[in-house]
Amino acid sequence: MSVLANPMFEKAKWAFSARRVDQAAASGLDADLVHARPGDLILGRVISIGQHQRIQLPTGRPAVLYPGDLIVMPCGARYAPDQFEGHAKINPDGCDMLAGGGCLGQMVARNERIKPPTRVQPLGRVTGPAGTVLNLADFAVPKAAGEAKVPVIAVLGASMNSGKTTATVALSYGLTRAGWRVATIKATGTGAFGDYNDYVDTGAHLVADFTDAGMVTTYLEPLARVKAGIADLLWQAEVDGAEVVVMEVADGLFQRETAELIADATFRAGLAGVIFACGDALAASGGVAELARNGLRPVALTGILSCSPMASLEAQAATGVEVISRGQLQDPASANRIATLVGASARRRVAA
Amino acid sequence: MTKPSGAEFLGAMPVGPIRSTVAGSVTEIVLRMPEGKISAKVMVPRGAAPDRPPLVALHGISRDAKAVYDAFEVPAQQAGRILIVPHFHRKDWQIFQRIGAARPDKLLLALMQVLAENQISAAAQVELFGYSGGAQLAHRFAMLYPQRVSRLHLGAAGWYCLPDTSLAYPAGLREAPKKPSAAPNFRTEKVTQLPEYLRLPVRVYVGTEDTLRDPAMRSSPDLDAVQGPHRLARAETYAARFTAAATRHQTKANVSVTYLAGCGHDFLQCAVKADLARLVLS
Repeated sequence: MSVLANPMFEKAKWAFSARRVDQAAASGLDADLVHARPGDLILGRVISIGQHQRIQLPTGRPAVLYPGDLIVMPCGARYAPDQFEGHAKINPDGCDMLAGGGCLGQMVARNERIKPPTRVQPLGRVTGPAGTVLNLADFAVPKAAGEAKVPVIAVLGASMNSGKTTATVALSYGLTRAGWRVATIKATGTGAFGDYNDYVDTGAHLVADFTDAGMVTTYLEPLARVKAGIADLLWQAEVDGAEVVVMEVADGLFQRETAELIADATFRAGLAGVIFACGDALAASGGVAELARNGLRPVALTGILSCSPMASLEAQAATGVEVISRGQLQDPASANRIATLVGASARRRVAA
Repeated sequence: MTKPSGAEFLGAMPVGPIRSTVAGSVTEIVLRMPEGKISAKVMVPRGAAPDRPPLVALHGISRDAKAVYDAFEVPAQQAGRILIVPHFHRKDWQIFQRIGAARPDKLLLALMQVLAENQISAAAQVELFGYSGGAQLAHRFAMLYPQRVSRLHLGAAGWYCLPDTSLAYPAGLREAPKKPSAAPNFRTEKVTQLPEYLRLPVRVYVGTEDTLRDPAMRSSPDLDAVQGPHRLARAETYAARFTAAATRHQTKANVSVTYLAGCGHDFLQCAVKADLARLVLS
């Protein structure tokens, strides 16, 4: 372990995914990069600019990256069919910036429409005053002290870009307008401020994602770890007085962690309702069937599909599930109906 | 993890000075939203409990918010209740009684949010009173947002959306074929909320002389046949249908009709002659 002058950390551009970390705790470097674990903080120097030309800062703004910049990012994996697949491995000779929100690892696959990753020379794992490597998990929200009872509406989707975040944001806004204390949570994915900021802008009572539970990404994390993270966030929502949770689950139903979650009986039991976002009637039919195979039936379909009245009619005819548009999710009257469908109204009445 | 501060989109601002009296403070706020503008007079009595639901009192189609405020001010002060009297200005609100193309509900929700953000009221609910057209809006609001209403007071509405799925919407809640639309389906929203709506305590008030069929009262052979020929009969029909619907939902209805002796369809007369405001606040 070597001890660095703290100004080196102060000069570094820290990533949004490390926003919970107390930067003043950064005291030194551990040169053992080969044994980096997911969430370990890595100090690195930018070698060359590739796909990611900016880094998302904890303050919520993107900063331009230049060759030679010092950066601090957690080690993590990435699953993004429209960008990279990458693993949580740090090659001492050079590693890859896998996400703008801050995720360093080793690219294993790249969408041919995008550039190669921004390359980073890792300098070491960041250590705290006691010499131990700092990990995102050290700065996570407290562990759940019980099982949260707050109604959870899961927003699932057919794939990336099917409209999950749009639906999550719209429903959070509509519920907030209707007078609910809403917690908007991203259960899985890779840490970034885009969705997070969109959640905050709805006026939600509380916003959190898996990085608040100590994971830079949930990709390739064990199911038990992902579920524990979700439980911690839901508990935090309950403790903070949220009356309903809108929880986005990243990617499509066939993505590894999403598939594991919906196949898990205890995860399903914690859901009061599901909204499924998809692009067309065929995806709606397939998605509803796949959910049914796992014992789930959505209360509504939404997403790109809902932009087309004809596609919506086809989907409704094929599935028997109502199609709700973004505008309806944003509307307090329609959002309020969903709150009642998932039991939030009855829960408030009983509590009163 | 972020706990954002409240939304700032509402643009609520006090107009004119806050008038403080021995009994409390009174101010008027203006809310501007894409749906239109309303003003509202807010009276906070000294010693009012902020967690007790405030009373929101809605005027009728004469838009005489001042008469409503004047009637409720002293009784509300004496009862220690926060009073809010919105004014739906005619220029912005050709229709404020119904929720559909016009969205007065959004303004009422926004008003409640402003009260919370300004720490005037911490209550998640309001006690909602409306007279005539205001009663129409009040019960339709309660049908969409029953969890925001602690008690519903309906004074002589011209007609009602009855909680009855055998009657065509909007006089009832019977389903009608409807293509997917980007707009909310208010019938569907109300049907879903029905079990919560039917649990609300509802107080209906109507003058014993409110039997004239004036032009402001919606009438048609079908409506008359179902709801009755005049407001007195329609109030009774509403209470009866509410009770029947509650029974169908295995809920014990908490609805009553109070007859205002010697009163016609005249808010001032009801306020002065029958002490309507004190009845509501009792």
